Amino acid sequence: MKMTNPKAAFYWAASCGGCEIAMLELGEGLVDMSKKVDIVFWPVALDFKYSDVESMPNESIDVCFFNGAIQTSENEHMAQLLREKSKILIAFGACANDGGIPALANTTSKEEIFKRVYKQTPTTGNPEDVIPQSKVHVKEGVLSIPEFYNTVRTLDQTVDVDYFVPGCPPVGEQITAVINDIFGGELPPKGSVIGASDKSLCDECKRVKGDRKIKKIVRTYEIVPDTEKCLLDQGIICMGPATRGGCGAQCINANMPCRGCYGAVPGVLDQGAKMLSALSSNFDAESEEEIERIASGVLDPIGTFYRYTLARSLLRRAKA
Amino acid sequence: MNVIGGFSLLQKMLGKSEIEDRVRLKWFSASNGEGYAPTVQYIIEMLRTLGPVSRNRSRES
Repeated sequence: MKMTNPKAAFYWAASCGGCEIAMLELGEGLVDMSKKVDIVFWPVALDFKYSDVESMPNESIDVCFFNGAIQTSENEHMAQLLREKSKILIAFGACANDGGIPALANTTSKEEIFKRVYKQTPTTGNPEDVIPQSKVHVKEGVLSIPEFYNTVRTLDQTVDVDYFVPGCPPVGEQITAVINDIFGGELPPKGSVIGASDKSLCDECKRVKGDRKIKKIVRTYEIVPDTEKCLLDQGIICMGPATRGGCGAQCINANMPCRGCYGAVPGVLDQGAKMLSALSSNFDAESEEEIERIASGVLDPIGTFYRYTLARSLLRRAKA
Repeated sequence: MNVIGGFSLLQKMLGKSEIEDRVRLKWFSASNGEGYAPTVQYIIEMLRTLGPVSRNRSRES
């Protein structure tokens, strides 16, 4: 008798779809996987309904790869549902891990976001100032759409999570390794970050590190960075010192700075605070004025230091 | 000196957060206990009034 294949589910919550593309980019690897694994739920690729998942017995899915942050009642419902139905729940990608780009919404509020999106954007015509409501009464009954939350959360701030695969998106080789380990029965301790390194990105970066004396912060369009030298030495904010490695330094190899998508280095609670301290300790100035001038080169500190981790951070969110 | 740069950036970030009111930067020489003690006491009282920063995971609206 044929042994039954392990069952896998893939889901996207508040995300851009890049994690799904990363899965699809496995190409032939995906075909290999589909021979060993039965995919029981994957909205981006296969037509299953939420009710199909609801009707599954608890813990009948062996592994669920969950990408995206939790920003709506739908995201939250699916997180709870898939937690219930899955033996192993994996936070897949930066948004599920740390909030990701969607969590930058925590610098403002639901009200401000709706105002901007539905009233103020130059391409929006909305003369009646219609703002989406989660429930609308019409003649035929009540129509409802998911509720949009004021605060974006990570997956593990919502439900219990077994493993964390960071990255925006996770890189292909790491995904393959994770899939092989998980379905091959090589289970690391619960709560582990998998598919990444235990060192900082700086550790795997091949660039030559200099004295790190920053006199002026520059943005990538302002200079053509030297391809051999450390980007921080050239005044470009590179998140390498505060960021977990394992991505293969792809951005650095393309002569662009690390933006921090693999999250905080192990042992660091708050990636942004770590980066702030690493960066400011390299400011090279003689006077208070000069140092203020260098610091003022960081135009958007939260968006720079917490680009992917605001939901996880100690800052949490903007004041109400 | 670099603390100033870090602090200036930190203030910029905290200005939007719930922990803004909890952060102060003051300098004291080793001989200035008279200035140091009341400042620490003031901060302790301030933190008592503000209470702990909520880190609970429940959903806020």
